[in-house]
Parts: sequence; structure tokens; C-alpha cells
Amino acid sequence: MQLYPPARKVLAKTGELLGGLMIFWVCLAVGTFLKSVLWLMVPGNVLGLFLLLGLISVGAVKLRYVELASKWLLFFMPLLFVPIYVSAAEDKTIWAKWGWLLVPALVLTVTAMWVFVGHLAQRLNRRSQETGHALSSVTETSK
Amino acid sequence: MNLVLWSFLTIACFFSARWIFLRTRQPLLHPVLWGTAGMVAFIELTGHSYQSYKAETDWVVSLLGPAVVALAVPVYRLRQLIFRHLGLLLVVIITAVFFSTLSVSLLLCAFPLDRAVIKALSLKSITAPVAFEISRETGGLPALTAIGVMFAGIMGAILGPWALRRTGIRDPQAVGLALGCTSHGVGTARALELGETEGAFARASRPSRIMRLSLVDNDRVAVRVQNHGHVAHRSFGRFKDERAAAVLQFLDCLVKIFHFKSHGGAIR
Repeated sequence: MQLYPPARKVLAKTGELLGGLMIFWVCLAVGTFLKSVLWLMVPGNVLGLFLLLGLISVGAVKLRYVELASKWLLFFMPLLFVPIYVSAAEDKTIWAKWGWLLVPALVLTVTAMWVFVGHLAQRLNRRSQETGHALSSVTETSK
Repeated sequence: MNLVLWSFLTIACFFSARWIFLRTRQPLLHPVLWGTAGMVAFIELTGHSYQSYKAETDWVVSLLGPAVVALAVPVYRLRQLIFRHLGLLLVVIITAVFFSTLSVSLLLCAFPLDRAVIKALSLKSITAPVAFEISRETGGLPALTAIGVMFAGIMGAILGPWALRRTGIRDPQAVGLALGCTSHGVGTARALELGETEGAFARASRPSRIMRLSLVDNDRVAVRVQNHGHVAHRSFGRFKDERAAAVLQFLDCLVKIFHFKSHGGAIR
């Protein structure tokens, strides 16, 4: 059957997307299986992540096979959290009873962490630059 | 309401909020925040139950598993940056993790709160899909963890750069690491707006923060591996487990020792 070039392109992209998603699902399934069999404490999805990372590193899975699916899934990732956040609103008793404490506690701890981590990283970076191990520019590394 | 309608409403609500956000670029109009607010308002106004909403949109949440696996692609792309600055990243990230858990635990331990609430909030600075998964697997409160994560993220986008500037943190790499470690994805997006260096370091701090999660057990208590013949040894050996266990046990305000034996389970 003869297909018009745009239709062929759409089919190829769809195949690439589905193939990538399949690879993610297989890695996830293997990660979950390893977790249950080996009694590991690492979540199955994180094991799947490392498995895929290993497969890409050794060349068993080409980056181009999973690139489109990864881009697609990560684009939709924020949406996947909406049902979880909506569920949080269900437990009104926690918020009614402890909201006055939880919200300021979150503000305080997040602010303290910015300041602490920022100063620590700034000091370590300055020290490494002073000792001659200056970090090269990120522009170079990202190339 | 059925699966199709709930799913359509969730997607429509999120993308409407995203459309507004992309036009205004105001962190306060973050699509996750307003997408959620829209759905909560709809459920409350129409009198539907949260349970039915949860059941019908479960397939959306189940996509989080493959989405975490998909993070392998950006991690692989950043491998050069991660390896080149491995020392700096490890020190900052490990310290940040301890600080995050310690600050929440110490602050909230003084109040008669349920331990599950403290545990849920102590995961606030972990990248959202992983934090949610840990909370779910450890029998915590995933919804509350999600709120903590969202809070840390949106706060990072709104106030992060301003607070860092006011406290004298001007090094772009430090700004990136602080935003990435504390406010994960949303903070990373904000760091990318500030500059290439800030964005790259914020991104580098995210995948690395996934790696250190294997140090705790199902109760998020540190694991002490006594029998090195156990399979778990392979994943904990490189972390100097004794030292990490001591600190994490202190952070958890509990003294629990788990002995792992070959083919055996955890013994309290």
C-alpha cells in the first residue's frame, strides 16, 4: 500500500513513540520484579531508571529509540500530579487542624534550605577555584 | 461521572491553566497549582466524591512509573556535567538531604503530629515522582508528600532567586544547586530562566538526588547491613553504610537496627 510522505512520517513517529514507551514499561516491570525478588528498598521505578541508564550506556538501547517517548512523557509529567494533589484536598481534617503549623513550617524549612545549600555550594566552589581546580564553564561541558 | 469525563476535565483544566501560565509567565499562575485548584473547586461545587475521582483518574497516576524511567534520558545527557562536578554535587546533595530531613523533623517533632505527617513532609525536596513513589511504598501519605513537594517547588519559582540574592548567594552554580536541590523541577525551570549555568547545575542536582534514596528502608529508617553476603550489600556498600546509618537514625528520632541475612527479611 502506497502512503503519502506525511502519513508515513506520522506512522514512523507513532511507532517510535510506542516503541520508546514499551522500553520504559519493560524497564519498569523488570525494576519492580527485581525489587520484589531481591527485597531491595529502592523503588521499582528508580531501579528501572538505572536499568535503562545502563542499557543506554552500553549501547544496548540507542538513545534515539527512547528520546521521543521520554520527551513526550516528561512534557506530560506535571499533569500526572494533578489527581494526586486533588486527592490531598480530600483530607481536610489535617489541614483544618494543622494547617496553621504545616504552612509556616514548610516556608521556614524551604527558605532555610535555600540559604544553607546556596552558601555551602558557593563556599565549596570558591575553595575549589582557589586551589586551582576551578570548575570550567558549563557552556563547555554541555557541548 | 465516568473515566472519560474525569480524565477529560483534568486534562482540560491543566492545559487551560498552562495556556494562561505560558502567556503571563507568572510563577503564581503555575499550571499544576491552578489545574488542581480548578478540579478541587469543580468537585466541591458539584458535590462529587473524591473517591470516585481518584478511582477514575488512577490510570493518569500510573503513568508516573514510566515517567520516572524516562528521566534516564536527561540523566544520560547530563553525564559529562555530573561526572566532572561529581565531588561538588555529592557533597552539596547529601548535605542538602540531611538538612532537609533534619529541619522538618526537628521543627515538627515538638508538636503532637502523627509521624506519618512528618515523614511525608520530610520528602518535600525530592523530585516529585520519586517522592510520591517512596511515600506510597512506605505506607506514608503520598497526597501530603505531593503537597509538600508542590509547595517547595512553587515557592522556589516565586521567591527562590530573590531570597538567594538577598542572602548574598550570587555564584550562578550555587544558585542553580540551591534551587535544584530544594525546589526540584519547578526550581530548575526557574533556574533555567536565570541563566545557562544556573539551569545546568539545577538540572544536574535533580538526577543525582534520585541516586541517594536507596539508603533507607521501608520505614525510611537507615539500613545497617551486617551480613555483607546479602544482596542489598551491593547497593549500599559504596555509601559507607555505617556512617550513613548513624546519621539517618538520628534524623529519624528512632533507634531501629535491621539485620539483613542471606535470603532473610528485616528483623526488628
